[in-house]
Amino acid sequence: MSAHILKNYDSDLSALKDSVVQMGGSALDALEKSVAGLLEGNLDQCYDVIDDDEAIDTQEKRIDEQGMSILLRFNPVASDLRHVLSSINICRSLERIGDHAVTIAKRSRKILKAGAVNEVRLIDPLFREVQKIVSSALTVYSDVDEEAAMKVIQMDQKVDDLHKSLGKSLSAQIAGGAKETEPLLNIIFISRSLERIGDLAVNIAEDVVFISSAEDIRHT
Amino acid sequence: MPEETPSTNPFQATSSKRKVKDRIGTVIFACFTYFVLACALFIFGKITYDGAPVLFTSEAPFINTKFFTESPQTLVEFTNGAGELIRMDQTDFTVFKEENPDVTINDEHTFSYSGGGIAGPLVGTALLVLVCMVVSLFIGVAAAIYLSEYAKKGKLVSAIRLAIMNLAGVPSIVYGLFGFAFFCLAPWFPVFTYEVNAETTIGAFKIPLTDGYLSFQGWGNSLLAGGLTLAVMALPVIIAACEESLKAVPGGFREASLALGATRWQCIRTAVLPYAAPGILTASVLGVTRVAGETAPIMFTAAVADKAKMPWQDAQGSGVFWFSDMLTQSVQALPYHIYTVSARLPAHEAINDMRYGSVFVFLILVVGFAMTSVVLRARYRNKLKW
Amino acid sequence: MNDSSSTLDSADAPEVASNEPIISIDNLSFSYDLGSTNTLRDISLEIPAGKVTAFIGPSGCGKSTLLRCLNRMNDLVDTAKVTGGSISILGQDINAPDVEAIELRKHVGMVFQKYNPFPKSIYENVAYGLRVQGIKNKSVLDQAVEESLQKSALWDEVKDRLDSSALGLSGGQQQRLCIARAIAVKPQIVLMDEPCSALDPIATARIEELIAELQEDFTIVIVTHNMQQATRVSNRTAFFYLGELIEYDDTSKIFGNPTRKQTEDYVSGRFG
Repeated sequence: MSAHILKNYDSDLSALKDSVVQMGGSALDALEKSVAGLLEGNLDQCYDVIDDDEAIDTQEKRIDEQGMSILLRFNPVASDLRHVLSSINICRSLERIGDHAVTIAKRSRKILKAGAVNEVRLIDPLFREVQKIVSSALTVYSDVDEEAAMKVIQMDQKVDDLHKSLGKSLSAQIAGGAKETEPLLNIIFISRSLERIGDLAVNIAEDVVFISSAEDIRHT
Repeated sequence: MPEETPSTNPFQATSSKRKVKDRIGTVIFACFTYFVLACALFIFGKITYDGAPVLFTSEAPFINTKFFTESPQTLVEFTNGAGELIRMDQTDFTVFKEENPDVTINDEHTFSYSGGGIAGPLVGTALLVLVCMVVSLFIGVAAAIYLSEYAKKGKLVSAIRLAIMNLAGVPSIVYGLFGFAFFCLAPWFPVFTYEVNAETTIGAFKIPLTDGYLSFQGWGNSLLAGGLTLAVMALPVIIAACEESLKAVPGGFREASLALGATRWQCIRTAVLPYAAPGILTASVLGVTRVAGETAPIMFTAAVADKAKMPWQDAQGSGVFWFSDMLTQSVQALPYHIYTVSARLPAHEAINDMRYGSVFVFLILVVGFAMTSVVLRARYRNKLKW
Repeated sequence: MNDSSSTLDSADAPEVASNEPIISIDNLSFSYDLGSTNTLRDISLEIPAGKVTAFIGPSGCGKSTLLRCLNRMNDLVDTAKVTGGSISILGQDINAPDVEAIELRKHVGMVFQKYNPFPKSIYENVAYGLRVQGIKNKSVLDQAVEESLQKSALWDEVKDRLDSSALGLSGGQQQRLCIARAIAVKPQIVLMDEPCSALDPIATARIEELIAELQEDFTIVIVTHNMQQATRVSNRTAFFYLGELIEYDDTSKIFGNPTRKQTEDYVSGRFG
C-alpha cells in the first residue's frame, strides 16, 4: 500500500506494529520459559517469567498510548483504523497470554517444589502445538496474511484435542487412586492455561482477518 | 588598562555609506513629489488670490451676487473729467450717460463679455452637464450591464471593450468635430418644430402635425447636440467605471439570486445593481465632471459667447414644441466663456476680474463635484462591506 | 413545527417514494469548454430521497461541477456543455429543451461555500426567493420567513431583529441564514457546496446538526473536503477522482472498508 502523505502517520503506524510484534515476542518467550522451566526442572526460569510479567504489562500500556495517539492525531479510517483497533485488541490478547504464562510458571513452581513427577512429560506435545499456534499468529499479524490466519484458526482444533485427551488421562489417573493428586491437578491447570493461550492465538488470527478483509469472523 | 570589550549590540550599523545613499534617494523622490504639489498649490493659490476678491465683498452679504445673477455683457472703461478711471457695464453706462449728459468722457474703451456676471455660462454648463449626465448614465449603465452580465466572453466582446477604451484616447477636438457633423448637421434626428430648418433637411423626412412638424433634421448649435457630444465623450469612462462597480459586487450575490430561481434580469435588478449603484453614480459624476470642463467638444456644437436670454426664455411655443425648442437653443458655457475672455480678447487689466472670477468659480465647481463624489464613494465603500 | 412542516412541501411537485432515487445520473459527461476536454466522464449514480449524500474527492475531481450540474448553475458558464448522458430529477431529464433552469432551481436549492447573504435585512434575505417568484402577500412571506428561520435553527437568535442587516450576524449565523433562504422556496433538494469551509468548528458543528435535522424534509447533497464531516453527516458517499466516479456506497463502507484502492488511498490520506 502506498505511503501516507503525512510521514509521521506512517512511522507511527509502523511503530505501533513493531511494539505489538515485540510484545508478542515477550509473551511467547514467557510461555516458552514457563513450560521449559517445568520440563527441565529449572525453578529460576519460572521465577523469571513471574518477574517479567510486569514488563509485558508495561508494553501493553505503551501500545495503548501509541494507539490512542494515532486515533487522536490522524483520525485513521478504513484499513488504518482497523489496523489500530486490531493492534490494541491483539495487545490485550498478548497480555492475557502473558498472564497465563505466569499461571503456568506458578503451577510449575509448585510441581517442582513438591518434587518432579513423570506426568509432566505429557504436557510437551500440547505445549509444542500451542507454541506453534502462538508464533504462527504473530507471524500472521506481522505479515497481515489472511490466508495463513485462517490456517492458524484451524490449528486450534488440534490444541483442543490434545488438551481434552490430556485432561481425560490425568482425570483417569486421579480417579484411579494416584498417590499424589496435587501435581496431577496442577498439570491439568497448566493444560487448561495452554488451551486458553491457543484460543487467544485464534483471537489474534481473527483480528488479522479483520484488518485484511474488514470482516468480523469472531463467534462465527 | 581596561580591556576593550567588543560591542554586544548585534544591530549596530556596519556601513554609513549605505545609509547616505538611502537618504539621498529618499530626498530625490520627495523632491519630485513636492514639485507636483507645488504646481497644484500654485494653480489654486494664484486663482484664489486673484479670483476670490471678485466673488467676495467687504460689505454684507459679502458675496458679489451680481456676478452670479447677471449674464456677461460689454464692459466700458473711461476717464472722467477729474481724471478718474471708471469701469461700468454697457447698460449702466447708457443710463449713466442719459442721466449725466454733460459729463466728460475721455479715453472710452469697450471690452466684450467682460462685464456683468456669469449667470448665462453657469446655467448653460449646468444644462449641458444635466443632458450629458442623463444620456451617458443611461447608455453607459446599459452598455456596462450588457458587457459584464450578459455578453458571452469572446473575441467580439473583447473587441468592443477595446474600442470603448480607445474612445477614451480620442482628442476632445475630434469629439467636437464629430458632434458637429453627427448631431448639428446630419439630418436624421427628430425634433418638434414649427418651422423646418431648410439648411439641414435636404432630402430628410418630416411628419406634419396639427400645429407643426416632427422633423428629422440637424439640431444645429444646441444644448442637445452639445450635451450628447459630451455624453459620447464621457461614455468610455462611465462604461469602465460601471463595469468596475458591477464586478465589485460579489459573484456570490448573483449565484445566490439565480439559485433561488431568479431570472437574469431579476438577479441584476435586485442582487447586483442596488449594490453597484453607489459606485456607478459616484464614478459617473467624476467622469461627467471631467468632460464638463472641456471646451473643444462644445465649441462647435453648443456654445456661443454671447446670448442675452436663458434657453427657456428664448424657447418658442408650448408643450413638446417648447421643450424641443429649448433643447435646440444654443447656450453659453463656462469653459467656453473662460476661453473667450482669456484667449480671444487682448490682454488688458480691465478684463482680469472677469477672467479670474470665472476661473475661480469654475475651479470651485469642478473640484467640489470631484471631491463630493470621492467622499461619497469612500462612505459607501465603508458602508457596504461584504 | 409538525403542523407547519406540511407547508414546506411543494404542492406542484410529484411525490417520490422513499426507496426511489430522487436524482438519477446516467452516464453523464460534462465539459467546460464545449467538449474539448470532459471535466466529468461517464458518471452514473442514483441519489436516494430523504438522505444526505456526500461528494468527496481531491480538488478538481469534479464533485462541485457535478453538484452545479444538478441545478444547472453551470449554465452561467458560456462554454459549459453536457456532452453525454443525462440527469433526471423527480423523473424529469433536467437538460431537456422544455426544462426552464429557473423553475428547476425552485426545486433544487443551493447553499454556497462562502456564506453570501445579501446586504439586506434578515427578513428580506429569507423572503428573497419568494419575492422573485412574485409573492407579495405579507402574511405568506411572514409565515415562510418564520418557518424557514425556525427550520434553520436561527429563529430564536434573530426573531427580535428581523429588520436589521444580515451582515451583522456572525459567520455561522450568516450561513444558516443562507440555508434558511434556500429552504424558504421549499425545494425538495438542497445542494450544499462545502458549506462549512469558511466556518469555525463550533459554527461547523451547528451546521452539521442542522443538516441532520433538515434531512427529514429535504434530500441533501453535500460537497465537502472534510472527510470527518462526510462520515458524520452523510448516509451515502460518492468518491470522485479526475472527473470520474470511483466509488459510491454507504458512508460507513466508504470510510470503513472501501472496495477500490483509490478510495482507500484517498480517505486514509495516502494521495500524492
